[in-house]
Amino acid sequence: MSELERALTVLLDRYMPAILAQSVKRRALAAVGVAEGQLRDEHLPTLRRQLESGIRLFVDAGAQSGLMAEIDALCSGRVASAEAAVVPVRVEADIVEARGRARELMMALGGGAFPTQRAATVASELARNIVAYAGEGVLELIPRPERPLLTIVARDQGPGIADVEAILEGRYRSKTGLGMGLRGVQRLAARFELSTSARGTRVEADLAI
Amino acid sequence: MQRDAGNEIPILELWGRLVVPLQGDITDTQMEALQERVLRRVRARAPSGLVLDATGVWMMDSHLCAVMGRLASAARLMGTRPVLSGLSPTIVMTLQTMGIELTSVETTVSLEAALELLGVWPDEDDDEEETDDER
Repeated sequence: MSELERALTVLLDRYMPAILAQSVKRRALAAVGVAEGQLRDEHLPTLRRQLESGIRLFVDAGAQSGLMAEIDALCSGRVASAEAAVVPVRVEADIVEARGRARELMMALGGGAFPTQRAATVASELARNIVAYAGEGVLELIPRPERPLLTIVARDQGPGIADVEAILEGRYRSKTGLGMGLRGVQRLAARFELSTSARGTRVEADLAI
Repeated sequence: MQRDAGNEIPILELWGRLVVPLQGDITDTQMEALQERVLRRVRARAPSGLVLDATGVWMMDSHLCAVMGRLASAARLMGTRPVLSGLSPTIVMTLQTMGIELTSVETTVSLEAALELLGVWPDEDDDEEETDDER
């Protein structure tokens, strides 16, 4: 068992009988899809929400907020990884890096399997467009825990996207399958903004959790 | 490119069918290389089916999807029936939201179902088959 998992167990034990604490922890771990003894820092935000439902059932109403505050303290000390990241994008390996970081950040924000998949896919599409069409650019990944959502900004100084309306309205079908990517990003995003000119392109997408 | 040399995607041959177990995070280079290798194997072995097993894939974007579709179409053109198996719910839901359709290839829920579709049937009498295998 990790030090983290032990700390969590000790914390829960202080607020409820050990047998209930264990059950609450086990149920939360199962809901997050983590085997006992395998809890890691990046699971914490997702786990927090699962723990909360158990805590509402078994902990005295007056003590609930105190316990949640202690769990938050445990989380905030741990999840330093949920910081904004800037990924330079130039070669294929950067696409892999971009989607990996988006995935990590979405998990750190507490996103489940589907939001995590959406974030990774959006990062992958935007990074690939940069490599394929602009040659060089950056992806900014900005976690906004207060909303909560993950903002992904792709910037490049490439030649711009011709016929962007046709792409976004789905009237454009390229033989290579590209174009589907940008439209897909728009459909996966909770908010989508695009500006493009002969001096470059900027795409901003908010991914909900 | 050299970096990918060490993690080449394997191509297995099972009962006269080719099986490609796709795993984890697949790079564009790996996929391009795979496409060529698979088609060469199809040519050399004339298998009665090709299974692209996506059970272990954690992300599939429009590009990977397009390459997968092209590989399947090319295999069919060469006379081998392609099947894509084991897409995860999150991948399927994401592709659907994006409006991407994978209509160029038959799909099955699992690798086992894909092999059954291609005419591989487990022996009804399991015990007997196991003893046969052990010999």
